[in-house]
Amino acid sequence: MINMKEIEIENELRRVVRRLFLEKRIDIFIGFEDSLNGVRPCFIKSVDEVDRLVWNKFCKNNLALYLLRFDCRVGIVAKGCDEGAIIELIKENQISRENLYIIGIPCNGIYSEDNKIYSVCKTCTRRNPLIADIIIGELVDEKDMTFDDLKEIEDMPIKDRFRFWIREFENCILCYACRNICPLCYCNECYLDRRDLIDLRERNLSDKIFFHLSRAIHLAGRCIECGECERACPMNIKLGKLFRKISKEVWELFEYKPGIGIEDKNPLITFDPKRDEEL
Amino acid sequence: MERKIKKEEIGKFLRRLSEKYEVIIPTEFNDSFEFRVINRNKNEIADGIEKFSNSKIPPKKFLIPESEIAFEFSEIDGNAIIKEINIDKRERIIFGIRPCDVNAILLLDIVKKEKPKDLSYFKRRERTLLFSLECNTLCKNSFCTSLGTGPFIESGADLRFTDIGDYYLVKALTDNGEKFLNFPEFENADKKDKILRDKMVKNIDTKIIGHEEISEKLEEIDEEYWDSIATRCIECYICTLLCPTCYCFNVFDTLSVFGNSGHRIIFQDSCMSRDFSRLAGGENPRRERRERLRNRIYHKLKYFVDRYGRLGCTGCGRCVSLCPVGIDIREFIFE
Amino acid sequence: MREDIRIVGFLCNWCSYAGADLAGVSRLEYPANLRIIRVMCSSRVDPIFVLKAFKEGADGVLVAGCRLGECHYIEGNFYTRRRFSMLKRILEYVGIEKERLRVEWISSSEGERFRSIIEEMTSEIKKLGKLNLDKYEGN
Repeated sequence: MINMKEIEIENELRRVVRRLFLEKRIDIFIGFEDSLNGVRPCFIKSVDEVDRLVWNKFCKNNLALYLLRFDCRVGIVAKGCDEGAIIELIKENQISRENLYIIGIPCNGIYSEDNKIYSVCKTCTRRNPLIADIIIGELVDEKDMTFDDLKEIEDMPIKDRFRFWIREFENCILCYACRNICPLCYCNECYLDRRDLIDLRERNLSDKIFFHLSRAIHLAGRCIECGECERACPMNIKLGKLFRKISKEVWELFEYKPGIGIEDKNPLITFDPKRDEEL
Repeated sequence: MERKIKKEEIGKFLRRLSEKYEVIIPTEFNDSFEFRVINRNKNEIADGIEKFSNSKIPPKKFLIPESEIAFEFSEIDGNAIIKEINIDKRERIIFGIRPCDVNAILLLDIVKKEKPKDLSYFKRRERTLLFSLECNTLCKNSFCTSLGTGPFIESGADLRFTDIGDYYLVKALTDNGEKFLNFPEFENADKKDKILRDKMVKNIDTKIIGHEEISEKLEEIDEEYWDSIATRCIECYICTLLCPTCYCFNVFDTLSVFGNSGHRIIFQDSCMSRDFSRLAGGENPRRERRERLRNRIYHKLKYFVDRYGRLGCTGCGRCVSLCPVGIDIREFIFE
Repeated sequence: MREDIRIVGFLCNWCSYAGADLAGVSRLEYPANLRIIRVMCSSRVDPIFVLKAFKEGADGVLVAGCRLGECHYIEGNFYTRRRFSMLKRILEYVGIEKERLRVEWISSSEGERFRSIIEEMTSEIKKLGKLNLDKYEGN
């Protein structure tokens, strides 16, 4: 059954983008289009191309990734998680808010091609736009924060946990898709490109463990749980369970959630001597 | 002569094979299948083969390993000594390999035969038998029917299995395959069985697109189109690492601390990597993402045709399904 | 490949390294499984260094800095404390025992304390055994 709301949102989206181009407020618009292979990102450069834009529950990519590739005025359509990434990128001075026009769309979850909701969407707590220039669609109810999905792994005895993660990481083919698709992995000189740390010649299991743990710790306090890494992984490694744990620890230790307040500071670059006594 | 084997007997057949050969079959793990060496301790050996469409990592990994030591070298009294590392000499059988992947291996055979012949590849290839399993349903995003590389196969594999209901119809396509037809699990196939397969073949809508047509169409694509696709690309290695015909590699020599011995490693590389074409002086002819993407598509759809007279792609659809940003090689073939 | 366990220690130049030095000068004996790497401040230690140490074969890692409030660079060790409290939890989640990573604040006059920390840590890690990230039992 077609969700009528989706079609209305899509039409309104096209209307807004058309206006943006006619009023010359943006040079390029990043959105989604349909294709043989499903919904995928697209880059609209003029008002004639606007009808390519679509919006539906299969729009899974985090478009904030592409913001770093453009220097001009960019328009972008953002779900909750995409906005979170944009906020983090602004906080880290990678993009400027002035050159950006954000169309926020409240999101109830994104579905895979076989109509199953993605697991990160089940635990999402920022479904509504926070800094968008314009919101299309009705606001949705926010869910309460929960980390119960991690209990299964946390409750395992330590040897079983090790075995579980080794079995996951064993399948890694070091394709770098998880790192390349993460909007917050933008370092020009990434540790994981260093051949003395990740040896692509030997591809040992220990290198693969190192790869994922390093990425996890470098994204502590920055990961907005968009789930792109897990979706991009061709071997279906349960990266969500790893990065959600990071978010859980950051929340429990420092009561901080990234991607919400543009003035918030990442707790790992600050300290509070009194509060940290418990660590 | 064609034979057939009851589906329930496949487990026995594979177990019998594994007494003399290393048998590799699609093994279920985490909702998907990967080609792994048979685990003889399992009761149900060919468990779940009905659900198998195709693996993510193509079976070429058994012929082109991720990384291997080609040889060890050392210097003694001014003489250079080269020692080949003893590679496994066991014969093995890849059972369940799909026609698209068999055709991919045939393409690799052509490439590796070029001078200088890749000896270690052929050492592996010669002791590998391919028992192909034809497809009853087309995989998602595959387009083997348009390239003539599937889902049925008439040559290239050693034995060909076709699912015709309660049985697999079996035919030997090479002399090496013939000797397996005497195994006790096989029965004689009759005309009825063969007709079942012929019907399946007829039903497939095979509108084969000529390889020259495809490579000519490529030239007509303009810069802007390449740009729009390249902007989406995230430069990961998924398409190259999981492509059954990709074979790019890199070579590296290591030296011991004393400088008089070491070994040479040959390992998988990807043309999508930024530094793949970087030259010793620092120049990089394909530094931009757009250039690398274009090069890859051209390699599969044009350079292969120019050099070997056939497409470098067998339509398995892996790159299409697994690309995180929806880059689709079919756009270059069908539009 | 030696069978004995190996501990890598990142010691900050001003306090904990001096403390280790004092232990040496005082002829205090402690197990030789420790390999020391001197850094200028404990906050120089990126968690990736610790992960690299584990990857390259270390069975335990010690990160030692000045006592809190006494950091030579004023606030370095406060960042260290936050960072490694995160890392410890992640390591434990992935199945690496949290006793393998130890964060201590050792002043330059605490030679004896340095010795006892190393002795304690070595016997703990010996009990845990070698951390072999390249293998595991199973298929």
